[in-house]
Amino acid sequence: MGDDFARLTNDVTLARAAIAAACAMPGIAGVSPSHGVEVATYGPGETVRGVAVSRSSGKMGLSLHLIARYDSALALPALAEQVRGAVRDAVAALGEGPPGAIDVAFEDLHVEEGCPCIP
Amino acid sequence: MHTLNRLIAIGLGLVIMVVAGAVLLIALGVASPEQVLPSAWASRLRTPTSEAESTGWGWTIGGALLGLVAGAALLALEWRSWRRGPAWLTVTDDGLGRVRIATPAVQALVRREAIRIDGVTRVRSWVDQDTTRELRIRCRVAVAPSASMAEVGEAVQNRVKAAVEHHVGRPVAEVVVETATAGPQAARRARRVR
Repeated sequence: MGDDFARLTNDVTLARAAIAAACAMPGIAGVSPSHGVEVATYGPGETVRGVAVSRSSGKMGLSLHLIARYDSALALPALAEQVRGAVRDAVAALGEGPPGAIDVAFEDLHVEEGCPCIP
Repeated sequence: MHTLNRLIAIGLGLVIMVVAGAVLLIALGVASPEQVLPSAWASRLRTPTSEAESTGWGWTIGGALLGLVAGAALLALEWRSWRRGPAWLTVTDDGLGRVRIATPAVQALVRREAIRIDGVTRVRSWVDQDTTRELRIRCRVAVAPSASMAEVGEAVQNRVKAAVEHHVGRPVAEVVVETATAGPQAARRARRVR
């Protein structure tokens, strides 16, 4: 029971750090509300949306659902690499071991105001 | 939707339609129960002989018709979902993890790029990914009457292919553009550029 509570608290801390690191990237417009099944990390009294922490055979994995900022420089593979790098650094700063797979899902592209609207 | 869920839905739709069809055929007297049902079930069925049973017969016909419609609707929904293509397109998938983009986001990107071309007044788009992860794009474009459909179609192809390959980072195998003159005559003057 105590171990479960500690793990959930730890997962929420990880999720919060990961999503903060991802959203700090200039190419990321925000966290996706997730159409359909909600992607989130649930902890005691707290939910971190847009990121799911998984643990399989001792290895921690992360899945992030984000909205990319659409401009002429946008290149999703490069942006995903930047996000992964930032998330890895954030996780390492918490004293966690290196995460396994980091899945990045772009649910939408955000167009800045003033640009022609997507019809 | 997962493939298994999809197969279950298709199977359920077919079963509902077959059962409803069999019940309808028996109730209308087109076929006998022995012809369409296993003998154990068939022995329990008989044609209505009284007014009270005729009311039940009406309900049976109604229920069977409802079943046919429900089964057809389920299959139609699955067909639409299949035509819409996958919900996600894979950008990269390696030991570091998977990078995906939602198909509607790519469709919006295609529309956004196509609408920027002079002469394009409206765009609809569909995106699919084949087994080699190359993208296949289909656009339906309404072109202003003053513009050349051939030129606009070619411009849409080039712009969409370049934009998707740059932004999404996946090769585009083909962009099929269907052009039509904007306005009520659109359907009569359709043209396809491959």
